[in-house]
Amino acid sequence: MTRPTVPSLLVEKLAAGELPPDKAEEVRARLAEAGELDRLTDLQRDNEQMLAHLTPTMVRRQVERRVEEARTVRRRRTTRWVGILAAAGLVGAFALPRLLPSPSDSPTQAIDEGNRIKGLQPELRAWLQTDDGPVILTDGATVHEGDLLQLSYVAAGRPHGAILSRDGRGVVTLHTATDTTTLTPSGEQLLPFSYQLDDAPDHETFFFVTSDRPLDVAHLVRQLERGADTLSRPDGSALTTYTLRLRKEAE
Amino acid sequence: MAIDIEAWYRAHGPMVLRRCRQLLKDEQLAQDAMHEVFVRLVRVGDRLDDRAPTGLLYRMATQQCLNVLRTKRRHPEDKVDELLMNIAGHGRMGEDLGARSVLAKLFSRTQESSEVMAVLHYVDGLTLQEVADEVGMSVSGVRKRLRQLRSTLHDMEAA
Repeated sequence: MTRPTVPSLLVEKLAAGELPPDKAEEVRARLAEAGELDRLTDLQRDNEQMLAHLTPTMVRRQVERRVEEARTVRRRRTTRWVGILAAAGLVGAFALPRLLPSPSDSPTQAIDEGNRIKGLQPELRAWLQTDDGPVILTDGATVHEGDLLQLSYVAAGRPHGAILSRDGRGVVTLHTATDTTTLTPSGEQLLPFSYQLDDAPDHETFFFVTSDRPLDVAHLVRQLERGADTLSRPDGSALTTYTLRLRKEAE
Repeated sequence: MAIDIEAWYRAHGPMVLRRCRQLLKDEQLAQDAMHEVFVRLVRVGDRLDDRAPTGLLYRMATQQCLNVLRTKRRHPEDKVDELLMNIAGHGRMGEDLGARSVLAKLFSRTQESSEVMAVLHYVDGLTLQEVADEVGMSVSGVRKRLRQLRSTLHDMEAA
């Protein structure tokens, strides 16, 4: 890089008419002395070529896209911090169900399956392990390949249930036991294993099915493999299903 | 105030791109840096003083290029370019220095504007008065800032 006789900033400001008159005169004199007055006309020609090659519309679109991407990242970080705060209240989240009425006097006992439950409802929670600690993921949260998730559930008095997931390739995974559908009916219960997301695209959707009676797990898996979003018993009666859909995003 | 990106680019984009090309010497990197300057401009929004924006955008482009040069190594073309790489934090000030320039540590300790001031003075050749006019400081303030840089560099070299 050879240093120009007259600094380029001064020439740019002269061309833009942003120098005070005395300074403009001085810079023009320096250019003349160095035999570089044609730098001003070169700038003008260069400007026209650049604007023709990289048009204002093209640049605006690119800038708007980058600004929007940056906002998306900030939103994601905000969501993460909200989650971290929630995680900071993790004790409360775990303690709350233990303070609730026991299954015997829970209002959920008398609710028919498939109906909306008033008061405490069965709930599936997904926690993301991060360097900052566990972060709870809300429905629609963004996750990535390799993310390590820990699932937990609140049965809200339901004695039976199963947790399954279906990824963007339609692959169904059973996260609870294959030989029993018995749940711990009260408190927030962590599953014994965490779950690492693979490279399946688009989404990872979790289904938490609860019931007053044992469930046919194989039947549930078959329904999800066929693409069903609501689940039912073999006799067609509806099952209460809590769905948590996480959006999968490539790194 | 929402920035009219197209109008700003039409008026100043070529100058920004020219500056980025001058410092980065890579068309793709230069265009990328130019776009980032306008992204920063959008973020500045209503805090922008648009009375004489050439100097502001020139300094923003310089800062953006220094940020890029910190992460993108390239061989300096000549002494001035070597100086620029040193300021950006990737050059070598002397044989005694490690692969990562002392200046990288130096500038990480000082204000960003000092970094740009160093480029304006040492690389672009602006006088101390011209740098002072550009950044809105006194000549003695600029001289003091550059002296602090040299002093810190000396201390680090001696360490």
